Amino acid sequence: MTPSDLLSILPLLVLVVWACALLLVDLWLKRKGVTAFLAALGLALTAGLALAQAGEETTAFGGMVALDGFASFLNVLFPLSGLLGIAVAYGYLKRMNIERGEYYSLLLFSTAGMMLMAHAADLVVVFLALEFLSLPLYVLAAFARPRLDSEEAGLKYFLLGAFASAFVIYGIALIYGATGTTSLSGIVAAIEAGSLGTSGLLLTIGAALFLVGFGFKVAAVPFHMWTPDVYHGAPTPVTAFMAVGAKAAGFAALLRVFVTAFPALDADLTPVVWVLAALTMFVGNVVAIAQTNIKRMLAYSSIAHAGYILMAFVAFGNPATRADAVASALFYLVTYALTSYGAWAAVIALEKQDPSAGSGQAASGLEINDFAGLGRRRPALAAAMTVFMLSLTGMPPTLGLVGKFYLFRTVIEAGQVWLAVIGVLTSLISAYYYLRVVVVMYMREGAPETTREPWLDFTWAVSALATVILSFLPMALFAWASAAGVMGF
Amino acid sequence: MSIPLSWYLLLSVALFCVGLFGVLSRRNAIAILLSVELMLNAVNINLVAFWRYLDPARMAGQAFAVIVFAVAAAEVAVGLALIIAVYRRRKTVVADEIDLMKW
Amino acid sequence: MATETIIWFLPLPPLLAFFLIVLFTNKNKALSHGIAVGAAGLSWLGSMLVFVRALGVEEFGKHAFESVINWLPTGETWFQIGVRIDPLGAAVLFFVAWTIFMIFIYSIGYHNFGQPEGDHDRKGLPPHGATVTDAHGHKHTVPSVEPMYSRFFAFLGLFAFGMYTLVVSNNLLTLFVGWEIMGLCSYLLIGFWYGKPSARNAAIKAFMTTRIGDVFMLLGIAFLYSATGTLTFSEIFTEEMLHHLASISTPILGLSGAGLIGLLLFIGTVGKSAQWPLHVWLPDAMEGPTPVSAMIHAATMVSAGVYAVIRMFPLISLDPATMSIVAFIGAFTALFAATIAVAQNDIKRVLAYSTISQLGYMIAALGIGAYVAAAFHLITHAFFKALLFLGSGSVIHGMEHGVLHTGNHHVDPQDMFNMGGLRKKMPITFWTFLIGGFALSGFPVITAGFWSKDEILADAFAHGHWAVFITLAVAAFLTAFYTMRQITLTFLGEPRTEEARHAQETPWTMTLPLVVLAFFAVTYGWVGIPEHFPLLGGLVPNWFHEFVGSTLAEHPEAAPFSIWPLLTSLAVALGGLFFGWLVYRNVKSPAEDKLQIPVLKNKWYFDEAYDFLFVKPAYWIAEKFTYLFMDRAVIDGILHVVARFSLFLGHAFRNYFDKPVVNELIGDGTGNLVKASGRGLRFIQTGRVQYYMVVSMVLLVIFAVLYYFLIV
Repeated sequence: MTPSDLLSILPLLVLVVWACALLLVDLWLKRKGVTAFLAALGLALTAGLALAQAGEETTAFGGMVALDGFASFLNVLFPLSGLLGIAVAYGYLKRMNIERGEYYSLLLFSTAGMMLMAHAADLVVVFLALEFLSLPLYVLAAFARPRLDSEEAGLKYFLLGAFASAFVIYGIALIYGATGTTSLSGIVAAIEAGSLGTSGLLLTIGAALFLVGFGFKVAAVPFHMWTPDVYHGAPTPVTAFMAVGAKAAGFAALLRVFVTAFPALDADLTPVVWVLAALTMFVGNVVAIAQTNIKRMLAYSSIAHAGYILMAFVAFGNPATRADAVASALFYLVTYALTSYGAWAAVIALEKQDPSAGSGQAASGLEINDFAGLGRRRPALAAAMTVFMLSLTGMPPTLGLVGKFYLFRTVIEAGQVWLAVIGVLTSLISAYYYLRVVVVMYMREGAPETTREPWLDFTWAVSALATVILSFLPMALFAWASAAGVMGF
Repeated sequence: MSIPLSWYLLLSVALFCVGLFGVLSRRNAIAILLSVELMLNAVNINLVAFWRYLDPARMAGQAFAVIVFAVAAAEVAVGLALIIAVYRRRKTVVADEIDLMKW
Repeated sequence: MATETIIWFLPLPPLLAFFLIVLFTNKNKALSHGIAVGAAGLSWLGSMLVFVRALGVEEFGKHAFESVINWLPTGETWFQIGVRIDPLGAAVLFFVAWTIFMIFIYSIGYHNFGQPEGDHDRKGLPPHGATVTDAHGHKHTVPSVEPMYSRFFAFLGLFAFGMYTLVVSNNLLTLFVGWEIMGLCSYLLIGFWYGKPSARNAAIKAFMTTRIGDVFMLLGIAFLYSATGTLTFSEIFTEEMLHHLASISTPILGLSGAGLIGLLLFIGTVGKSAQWPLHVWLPDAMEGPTPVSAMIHAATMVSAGVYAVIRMFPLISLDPATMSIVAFIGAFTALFAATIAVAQNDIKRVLAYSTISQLGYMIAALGIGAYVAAAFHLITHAFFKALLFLGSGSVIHGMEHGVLHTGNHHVDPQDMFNMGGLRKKMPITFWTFLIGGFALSGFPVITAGFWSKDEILADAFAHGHWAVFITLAVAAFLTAFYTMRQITLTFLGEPRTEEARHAQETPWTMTLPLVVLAFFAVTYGWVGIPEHFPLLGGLVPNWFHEFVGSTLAEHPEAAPFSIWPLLTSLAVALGGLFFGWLVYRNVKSPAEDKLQIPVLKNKWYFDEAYDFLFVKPAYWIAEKFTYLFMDRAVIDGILHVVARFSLFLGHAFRNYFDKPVVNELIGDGTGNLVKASGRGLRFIQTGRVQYYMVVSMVLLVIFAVLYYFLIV
C-alpha cells in the first residue's frame, strides 16, 4: 500500500472516514439537522473530489482497485444520489418521528460501498463492496422501527440479500478455482490463454451463479419478487435511495465484470441475458398495471427499468457495439436515477404520518387514487410528477425518451431487433399505468394533503427541470458516459 | 496428496445444497440465517481447497476465505438484530408469518 | 456574451414566461403580464443586440452567426441542431422582435387591465362590462377585465417562443418544431373565447386547414432528409448538394427532386400563409382577440410561411415548374383576396383579406425570383399590417365603449357602417391608422409600403413577367381602393350611430404600440430606396438590398430602373385612394354600397364550395354511405346482386375477421389479456420470503435445463 494507492481512492476514503466521524459526532449533536448538513457536506466533498479525479486512469492496491472513466463517472453519480437521499429524507424523518442521526451515517456508508463497487477490479473487492453497500441498506430498510412494515421490509431484504450473496460468493469461488485468480484482468488472461480445459465448465457455472446473485441484487425477473415488498415497506426516502443507488451499484458490478471478462464468454451468455431482459421488462410492466399502491407500482416500474438496462448487456455480444452498450447503460442509469428520485420525492410529499403506525396492521400506504386533485392543489408538483411519469414511459420532452432511444439503438445495432421490439412494446404497456397517475392527478376531484418542505420541493423541482432540459441537451452527458465506457485496468 | 480436488468440491456442493435446502424449507428465521451461513462455509471449503491444490504459493485464496468469515460475521450481527426487532413486536420468528406486505 | 450564445437564448424567456404563468402566477394578473412583457422585452433586447452586432460584421452573408451542437446520434454521425442568424435572419428578427414586443404591451390595454371584474363575465367569453358607481352615486357601465387574463399572456409567451425558435433555427427540423408550436398556439388563441361556437369552429377550421399544408411540408422535409442526409440550411445550399437535388428525377409531374421538395415545402406555406386554395381559415380566425389577429395572423405566423419560402429559395428556385406554380398561386391570391376585401363590412375581415392578398404579393414576388423584394415587402408589411390590426382593435375597443355607454348590445362594434367620424374621437388611432392604411396602399414616397411594393412591380416588369405585373397592379389598385373605403367609412364623415358618437380614445398601453409601429411603417421603407430612383435615389444607400441580398451565394442584381412600373404604381395607389374616398364619402348604409355584389360579399363562395366539395361528401360518406350501406333497406331496395355480394363479403369480414380477430383479439383482447395477466401475476406475490426464493430457484432450474437442451 503506497500513498498513491490511497490517493487513487481518495474520495472513497474521505467518505468512509467522514462517515465514521459523523457516527461519533452525532452522539453530541442535539439537532439532527446539523447531522444531516454534515452528511451532505461530506457527500458534496466526495463528489467534488471524484469530479477532480475525472480523466485519471490508474490501478491501485496491486490491481484490485481501478480508477478509470467508469469509476469516476459512477463516483460522481453515487454521492449525488446520496445527497438527494438526504434531501428527501430530512423532512420525512421528522414528520414520521424517526429522526435519528444514524440514518445519515448509514447512508454514507452505503454510498461508500457503492463507490467501492465502481472501483472494483477484483472479484474479492466486488464481493466486499456488495456487502459494504448492502448491510447499511438492510438496517435503513428497517429504519422506521417500530413500524411493522418497515421491520418486515428490513428482514425480507436481509434474508434475500444474504441468500443472494451466497450465490455471488460461490460463483466467485468457482471462477477462482477455474482460473486461479480473482482479478478481472487475470481472469481475462486465463480465458484468452485457452488452457482452461474441464475447468471451463467450472467457469461457466461460476459466472452463472454470479449472474444469479446479482440478478437478485438488481431485481431481474425471476429474482425480483422481494422488490415490491421491500420497496413498499421501507421508509420512502430509503426506497428511493435503494431504487437508485443499490440498483446502479449492482449494474456497475455487472457492467464491469461483463465488459472485461465476458467477451470470452459472451457466446454462452447472450441468450440468457436476452431472456432475462425480456422477462424482466415484460413482468415488471405487466404486473405494475394491477397495482393500486403507488409505492408498489413504482417498485414494479423499477423492476421493468432493470430490464431495460439489462438490454444493454445483450449488446456486449457484438464487439462493435460494446462501448456504446456501456455508455447507453450508464446514460440510462442517470436517466432513471433522476426521474425515479423525482417520482419518489413526489410520493414523499403526499405521504402522511401513517395512522396505523404502531398498530398491528400493515401500513395501508399511499394509493394512486390519493393523487386525485393534485393538479389543482399543487400545480407545480403535479406538473413535475407528470414529467416523471412521461420520462418513465419514455415520452418527449423528457430524458426518458433520450435514454430509451440510445438503449434501443444500441440493441438494434447489435442485431437484436426483436429484443428492441419487446422493449418498445413493453414501454407501450407501461404508458397505461404511468399515464393513469397523470389522469388521476388532473381529471379526478380530490383534495390531497401535501407537505411543503424546502429540500423535498428542491429535489422534485430540480429533477423535473433536469429531466426536461437535459432531454434537449443530452450531448454532454452522453459524451461523458461514452468516456466512461472505456475501462482500463 | 491422495484425496483428489474433486472430492472437496463435491463436499462443498453438498454443503451448499444442504444450506440451500435449509434456507428454503426451515420456518424459523434464525434457522434460515444459519443455513445461509452453511452456504458461506461451503464457499470457504471451496476457496481453501482451490488455494491448496492450484496456487499454494500465494495467499489469495486463504485471504479470501478470511474475508468471507468476516463478512459472514457482520451479516449475522445485522441479521440477528433485525430478527430480534421483529420478534419483539410480533412475538414470532416464523418467516412465513411475516407477510404483511404482499400483492 | 458571445453573439451565438445570445441567439441560443433568444427563444427562452417567453417559454419560461409561459411556464411561470401557467404554474405559478395564474391568479395574479399584474404579475402575469409583468412576466410576459418582461420576457418579451428581454428577447427584444437580445434581438436588437444581435441585430446591431450583425450590422457591424463585414460581409455578413459569408460570416453569419452560426453555432451548432450535436443533438442525436445517428449511427456514426450526429444529427446536429443549431442557430443561425444571417442577413435575412437578422432582418426578420428585427421586425419579429419589435412587433411581438409591441403586441405584448398592447394586450395589457386590450384586455382592460385595471378595470373591475365583470358583473356576469364567464371564462371563455369576451368580457361584457362591469357596473360601477361613481362618487356622485351615478351608475356607469365600464369595460371589464378579461376573465382569463393570465392565460392569454401564457399563450402569447408560448407563441413567441415558437416564432423565435423558427427565426433562429439553422435547420428545417427545429424550424418545423417552431412552426407547429405556432400552429398549436394559433388554435388555442383563435379559440380563446371558447364559449362562442363561432370561435370554436374557427379554431378547428384553422387547425385542420393548416395541418393539411403541414403534412405535405413534413413529407417534403422527410424527402429532403432522405435525399441529402441533412436538414441544415448551410449544408443543403451548397453547390454540389443543390446540383445533386436538381438531378434527381421523381415520378410526380416530371419535377426534379429539388422541384418536388420545394413544392411540398411550399404547400406548407400555402396552408400557413393562407394562400389560395387553403386561405379559408384566415378570415374566420378573426374570431380571436385582436392582438392575436395582429400578431399571429398578420405580423408573425403567417409571415413565417413566406419566410420559409424565402429561406428555401435556393432550393425552390432550382425548378422552373415549381417557380411557375409559386408565382401563379401568389399572383392569383393577391388579386382574388383583394376583390373580396372590397365587399367586407367587418373592419377586421377587410384586414384579413388584405393580409391574404399581401402575402400573395410576396409569394408572387418569390415566384418570379424577386428574392430581396419579397423579403422587403415581408418586413414592411409586418409593420404596417400589425399597425392596422392593432388600430382596428383600438377602434373596436373605442366602439365597445360607446356600446357600453348606450347599452344597446345589438350594435356590432366591428361593422364599419356603424362607425364614421371617429377621427375626432380617437385622434391617435386615426392618424396611426391613416399611416398604416397609406403604407398598405403604397402611398408614394413617404410610406414604407410604396417602396417595397414598387420594388416587386419593378422586378416583375424588368424580367418580363407581364401576367404577374398586370395582376399585381390591378390588385394594388384594389388594395388602395378598399383601404380608403375602410378609412372613409370608419374615420371620416359624421358618426352614423349613437355608439360611434360616444366612442373614446384607448389607454396609452394601446396607443403607444400604434405610434411605434407607425414610425416603422414610414421609415422602414427608406432603407430600401432603389439606387436610380429619380431625385431620391442614392441619397440613402439601398442598404436593404445589399444586406439581405448577401444571404444568397450569388448576390442578386437589383432590377434596372424603369419609369413605367413607377408610374403604374403611382397611378394605382393614388387612383385607388381617390376613388375609395370619392365613392364612399357619402355612403350611409350597406344598401347604398354599389359593390356589395353577392359573389364578392360571399367570398366567391369558397366556403360553400369547400363545404359542398369536401365537408358534405365527407359527412355524406360517413353517414349515408357507410351507415346506410350497412342498412338492410338500402341493400334490399337499391343495390342489386353485386352489391349483395359485396355486402356479404363485408359482413363476412366484419363478423369473422374484424370483430373476433381485430377487435377482440387484438383490440380489446390484448388490453384485457395484459390486465388479466397483471392481476394474475400479482397473486404470485404472497409476501412470504421463502416462497419467493423457491419460485426463483424453480424457475432457475427450469431455465438451466432449457438452456442446456436448447443451446448447449
